[in-house]
Amino acid sequence: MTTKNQASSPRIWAIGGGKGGVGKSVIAANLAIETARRGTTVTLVDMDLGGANAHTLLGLGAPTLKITDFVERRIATLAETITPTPVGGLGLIAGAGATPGAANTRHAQKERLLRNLRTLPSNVVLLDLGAGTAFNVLDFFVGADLGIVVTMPEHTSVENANNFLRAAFFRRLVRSTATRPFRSVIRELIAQPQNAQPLTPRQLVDAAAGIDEEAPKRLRRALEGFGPAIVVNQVRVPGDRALPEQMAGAAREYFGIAAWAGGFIPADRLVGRSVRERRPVVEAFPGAPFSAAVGQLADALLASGASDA
Amino acid sequence: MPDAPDPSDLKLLGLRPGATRGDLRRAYQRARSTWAAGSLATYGLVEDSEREEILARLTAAYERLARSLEAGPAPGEPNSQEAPQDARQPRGDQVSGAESAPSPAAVDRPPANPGATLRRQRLSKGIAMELLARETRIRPAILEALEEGDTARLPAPVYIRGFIIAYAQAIGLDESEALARRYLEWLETRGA
Repeated sequence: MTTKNQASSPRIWAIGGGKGGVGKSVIAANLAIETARRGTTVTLVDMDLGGANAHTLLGLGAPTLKITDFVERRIATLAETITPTPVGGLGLIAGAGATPGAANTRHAQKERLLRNLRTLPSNVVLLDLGAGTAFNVLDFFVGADLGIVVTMPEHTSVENANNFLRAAFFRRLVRSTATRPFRSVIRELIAQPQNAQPLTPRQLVDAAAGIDEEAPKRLRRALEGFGPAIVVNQVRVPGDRALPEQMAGAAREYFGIAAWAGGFIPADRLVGRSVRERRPVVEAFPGAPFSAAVGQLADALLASGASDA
Repeated sequence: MPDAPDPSDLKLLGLRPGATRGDLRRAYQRARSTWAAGSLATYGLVEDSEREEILARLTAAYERLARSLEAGPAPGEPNSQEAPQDARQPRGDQVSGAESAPSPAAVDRPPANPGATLRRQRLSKGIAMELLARETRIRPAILEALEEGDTARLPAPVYIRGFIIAYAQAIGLDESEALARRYLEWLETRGA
């Protein structure tokens, strides 16, 4: 397969999921390699501003340039902060490590960063977002062309992933209401009095008819255009293989968004070993179940872009 | 001749026009396991009452679609049972059952058809009609008539008591006897 030429702006994929420790960064690093191997140029951007380590997962030393050099305006364009990697077609924009305050990007900085991500010279820009549901994380997630929610088959992770989807749904709703009066009413509907029964997503969208008759239809269309992929990591028992499809279905049926199952990744001891050896799993153990699953995920994500890009 | 599949029902179950009965069955099975009590997939997403409401909506949509698709040709597929193959209670349902099922209270508004309560309870547990028919060995036409309180299609009251008890027990309701009694009283008010 030949490398696609860089005619238009890159497609932005964002990996989030609410909970730390579910394997977002390991999946991001290995997914970036697998995607690059398929003839698509990739920039992996380590946006885990509180605890960046994509460079370590790729087996690189501490990069000289980091994303903060751009955010704090020491470097003019984001593209200049790309560190080359030994993988053909893959570049890295390294994260900042634990810089105090780094996780709280200001609004203007965020907009500038979003704009610059669109100008990066690769086919795909893969954002490894940090944990949590802060606006920083959410805005990059809902602003991406494709969101990927990573979770694990246990109650705490699923609860966090569902909360993350709920937060992303609201953020998407607010951002898809362009006009100002409309936006403020939506905000009001979302921020209900504490003693009131919270509106379900369905009721919330229907309530928008009070502002303008056509509004619910418009909102539904906007939400249907939001199609995050659900990926369940560290699957141990066959019963949990259905979880991505179930969670995606639940998000479709509950929020009215076009969520879909990105697949599951089996629990694999070789992952821990490769991280300790500081070698990407797909390079150290190409035949490992983890590597096969990440390869399939890359195929699915690329296919999803082929239809609507 | 049933109507063509309702587009909003298809959309609800994530199906496209032209979906086969097999597609429908698989989509519903997925939805049913997703929204079952105790399901991991929806953990932290909804309150229990909301979960039941969604399951009821999906089950009702499934039943309407199953009726529509029954009329159309479906090559290579048996014409009979399209019910989900798993057990009566949805998968992942370890906690629900007789004791946790909401009691069929609120039936004490005399004019209301108690059959409608049965239907609501059935749908909120994700028990499709053909599944109930198999479980109770009562014909779907009778079960539908029971739910609708359609005296014209119902047998003589003397047979109805057993039907109601079987229905209530099959969907895990307590007080099946009391329900049957209320049902017959209601039929009397209708002059059956």
